[in-house]
Amino acid sequence: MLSLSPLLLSLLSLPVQDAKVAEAAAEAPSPNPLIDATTWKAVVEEGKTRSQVMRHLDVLTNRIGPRLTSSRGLRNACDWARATLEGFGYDNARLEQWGEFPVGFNRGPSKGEVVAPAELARELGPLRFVTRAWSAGTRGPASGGLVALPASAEAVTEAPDAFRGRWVLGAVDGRRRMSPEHIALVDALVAAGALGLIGPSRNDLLITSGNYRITWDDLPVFPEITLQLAQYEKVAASLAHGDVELAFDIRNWFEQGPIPLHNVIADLVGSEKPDEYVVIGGHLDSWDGATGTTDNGTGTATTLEAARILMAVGARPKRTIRFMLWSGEEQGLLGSRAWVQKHRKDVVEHCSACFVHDGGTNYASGVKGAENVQDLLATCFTGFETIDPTYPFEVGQKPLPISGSDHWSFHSVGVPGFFYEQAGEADYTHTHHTQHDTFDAARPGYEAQTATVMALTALAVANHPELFPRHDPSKLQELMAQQRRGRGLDLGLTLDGRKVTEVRDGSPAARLGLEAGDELLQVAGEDFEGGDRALGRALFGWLRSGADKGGLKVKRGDDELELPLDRSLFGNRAGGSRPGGNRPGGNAAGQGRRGGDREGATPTPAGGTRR
Amino acid sequence: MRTPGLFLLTSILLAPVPAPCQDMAPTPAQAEAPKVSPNPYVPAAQWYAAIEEGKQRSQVMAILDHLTNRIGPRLTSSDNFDVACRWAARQFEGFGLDKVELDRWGRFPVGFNRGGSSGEIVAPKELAGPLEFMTLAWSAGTKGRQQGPAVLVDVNGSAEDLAARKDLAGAWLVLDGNTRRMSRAATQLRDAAREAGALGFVMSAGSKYLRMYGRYQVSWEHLPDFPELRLVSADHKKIVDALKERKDGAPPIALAFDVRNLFKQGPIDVYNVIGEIRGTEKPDEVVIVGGHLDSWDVATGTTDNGTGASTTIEAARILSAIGAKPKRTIRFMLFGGEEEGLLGSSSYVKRNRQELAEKVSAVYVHDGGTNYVSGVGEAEPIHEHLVKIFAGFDAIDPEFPFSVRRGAGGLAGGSSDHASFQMIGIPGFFWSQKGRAVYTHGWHTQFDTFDLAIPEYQRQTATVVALAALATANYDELLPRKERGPSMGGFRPAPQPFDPKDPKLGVYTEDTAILAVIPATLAANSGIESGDVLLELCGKKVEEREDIASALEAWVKDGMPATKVVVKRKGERLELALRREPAAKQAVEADAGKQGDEKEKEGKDDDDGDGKPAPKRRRL
Repeated sequence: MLSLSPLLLSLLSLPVQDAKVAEAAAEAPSPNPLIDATTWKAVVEEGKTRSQVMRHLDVLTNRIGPRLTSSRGLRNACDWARATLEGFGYDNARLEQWGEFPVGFNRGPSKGEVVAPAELARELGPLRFVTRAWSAGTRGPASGGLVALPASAEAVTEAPDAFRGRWVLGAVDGRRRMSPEHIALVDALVAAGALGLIGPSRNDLLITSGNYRITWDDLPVFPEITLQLAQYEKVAASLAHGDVELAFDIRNWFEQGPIPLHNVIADLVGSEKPDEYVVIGGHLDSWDGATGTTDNGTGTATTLEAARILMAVGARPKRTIRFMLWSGEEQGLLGSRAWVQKHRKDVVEHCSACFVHDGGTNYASGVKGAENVQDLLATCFTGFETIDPTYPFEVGQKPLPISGSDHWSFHSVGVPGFFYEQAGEADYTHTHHTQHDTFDAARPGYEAQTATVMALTALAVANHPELFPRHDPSKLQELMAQQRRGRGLDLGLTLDGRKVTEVRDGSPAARLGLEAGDELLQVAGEDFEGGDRALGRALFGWLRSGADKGGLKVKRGDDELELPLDRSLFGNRAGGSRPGGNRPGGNAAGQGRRGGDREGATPTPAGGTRR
Repeated sequence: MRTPGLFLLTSILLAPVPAPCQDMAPTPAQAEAPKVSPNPYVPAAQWYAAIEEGKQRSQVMAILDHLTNRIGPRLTSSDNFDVACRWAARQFEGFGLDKVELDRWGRFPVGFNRGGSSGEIVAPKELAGPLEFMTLAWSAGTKGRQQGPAVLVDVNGSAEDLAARKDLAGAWLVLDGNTRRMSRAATQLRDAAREAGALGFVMSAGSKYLRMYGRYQVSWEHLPDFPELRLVSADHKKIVDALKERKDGAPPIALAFDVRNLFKQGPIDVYNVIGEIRGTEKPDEVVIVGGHLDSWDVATGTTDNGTGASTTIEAARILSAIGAKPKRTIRFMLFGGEEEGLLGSSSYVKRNRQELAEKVSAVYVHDGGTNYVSGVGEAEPIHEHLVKIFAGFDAIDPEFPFSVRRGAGGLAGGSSDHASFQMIGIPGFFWSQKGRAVYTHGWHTQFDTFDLAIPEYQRQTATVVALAALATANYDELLPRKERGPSMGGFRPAPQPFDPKDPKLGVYTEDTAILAVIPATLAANSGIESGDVLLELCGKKVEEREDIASALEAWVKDGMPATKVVVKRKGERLELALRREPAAKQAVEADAGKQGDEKEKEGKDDDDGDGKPAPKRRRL
């Protein structure tokens, strides 16, 4: 309710009382030692009573739409965000190119339905499904009978007519998608003239993901559809009893690249130490199964709003405040990482810290950091709990931030990166990369609060006499390994790229028979690109897929070995519950962590699903 | 299978022995064939090489596939349109065309893109199911998935009554009544509904067709914010009926829509795509072949006008591939903004008026769907030149006859980009087309997807376009200038006297409703007005568009006895005598004046309400 008090005061107070009120306000000490009382009050008032944050979010999600990296939506969003920042008064708002993708991908409308039998059509209504980004759509409406997925490519090549002009129904284990057998099967289906492959989702949630590494000369041609589990099961049951005909019209569009990709940046230049800066931001890109609202329209809108607030109140920070909206985050923090690498020396010397909001619509409820930053955190965030008593705020300790968003790009070079803790009633898992991630998922009260917190964060950190202390990035690997061991997810080996340099005695790796000198080629059926994070990601993904068995392909000398990966190696704590959590309210408390099922994220427990 | 077989036969029988100086490598089949070209302006080697390239090694369907399935629909100002322009320019460059350029002809205030959309009846269970609908281009989508009860609203009711209702907040307002001609009152209804917190209007599209249009004149600061969903009539009726039958206290009928109509802050640069093959002897003189690249966006813009864009690109490819060396320059043009009113071509003409008026011999536009090009026509004196230029075209493929008609002059063949050139006296041609495809089925509708295109027709048309360009470029002289019609500005069609050989009523229709009346036609002479709905013609019932042509044909066959036309006007049945000549001079002028006024008024009404009918309509 305090959020309304300035407004109420101004409405209720008589002219005679105005002077007194103003006097009282001026005399009231600031809750925060780094921000003067007038500015603090002005920021809170601007952020809480004249908030524009939902307007930014509305334009971003409903007018511009989803923002897949390499899509025109992202490009439009970059242009709009830059223009918006400029409109707030940031003359230096700019786009900085960080890279390019080979092919652009845009998504038009798509629909699917049961044509026959009529009862099934009536029962199911419109089919609910998703296709991966950068994957093939249909060529106009494609209607055809349904056949079950055969076991092997041979079954298709022997009787291609059975598949010509048909949709093929069958579950393919996510980890097997890249296996040679499956690829051969799909090739055979394409050759036979099948319309596409239809598999089930894990649960009611339709998760969008995708692989941008495609080429213009070899665009995907075969639609692979993930149908919502409940509908899939009914279709499969119906197929067991007789003929089923389905129709899909899926419009997946491509643009010849290279597609240039950008981060959006604007600076509120510091009055005393303009070369030093604090970074505050979130990623602008999204997946494109919905409109990218809680991942990460909310972080984008609050960043823009924080920029607006600070300009509107005429804030004059001592250091520069750098607002950053990154892209390529969903493909592995690409935009932030490239930016940090390009400016690495400057970042390490002059960037105090990086604060990222990328955890959905719940309100920013705190910041946690390592032991060496506790003093600074305590000073900077003094009084944040008084912004609005409805929304508590606390500073806490944890050795390592989660690594699944852009602050990690800073943290990994030794500059403290922080990911806001969040709390509230919203269920992040319900919307995270799913079909439900639309504007209606956002909560206005939380958004206004978070934007205000971000504006004050930037100001406090910019005004602190010291830079946040650096840390030794080479220690992070060990910390992460410890963390994974704590979660039972560690294989117990040390990697240099794809090469195993050390195997701990008695570890799962040792029990598997891995040796130092082995080279990991595939983990759980997917090509392994190397590195500790990728290994953790692959293992976590495999465990979450619910599979009990998987493979580890290893090169030893001139030989290639297949080692059997088994769930039992990891103990029962590993990988979270399965399948992926769709428990209502499961993420209510302690929300704000990135779910572990997030692509590109190092495994962390997914909110409430672990409890 | 029959077509390829025939093609093969044709090439064996007709393919020439190439002259020694030609760079085409002879194939055994060609070695057997005669060396006479059926066309005096295209050397035999090039004639047969073009046919072989166009018919045996065609890329036209691959081009169309890419355009419609990989790029998608191409609404002017959309991202897809921009992608398509750049892609097409790359194609032209890849063929080695000269002077490839994106010709910026204007800016649109905002861009419009269409994301996913879905709509359904959520409850009650027995009605639940998907709804087939559209929203207009540049109109509002929803803010995420919006579910609410359906409530019935009389489209003829007053805004005051609507404002007084208490059940509008959070509800979908299902408009009952004819919404096709919603006018000013609709604006007030809309304002009242928005004020009351309604989710949007649910209205009928009037038939099973979702026929797209829209107004691009919106501003970023005031983007449309009230969704209006146009349902196929059956789906709309289902909801209306259920609402009417619903008893008080019964559980509500719930609808949910998630419509992603996406906007981009402008100004948006919009282009024509141009490339050319320079003429060897008279490079300043030009033949233009083209079609518009833009489309509406309810489907993927296949027959309007992916087919014309792809034949243009394919014609460029064919002529490049055979190393054609035309005497005059051949310019390939893909226009933008056609659907919004020939904007790209008319801007191009305006900007280059002086040069074009004297130097462009002819403009051939392909924008009539997937049926094969079957002829071209004009009045004298142009007709006699056409006869020479198109000599032998009916021999390209006996499967696909080609003829040069003696046309009536005026703005011939529907409103497309050739009309922009006609306005400054350049002979502009819109190909006649024939075949099994029904143009109106796909035209601006949800059905205009890749599967409508007919490969053998596309191959034939691209070949004809390529050869037409070549023959016209090599012709003895520039075609004579057209006499400029007095009233060809905008989309007013030129008068078209009745011709019993090609009996037409002289109207633009949507289904059986009259959208516009062409001056000096049967319809105009008989007093048919726009807004009328045809009921009977020449004693025959008119139930669908196709009935008009068949009734007239039968009437002509019977010797054109005195007969009548029955229309519904303002809800009343009205009988009119069918007149081939104006009733009396005085009366016609008065009529014409009145029609003009009516049109003006409708235009305004439509802008407020249902939007402006698209300029191009099926003419019968």
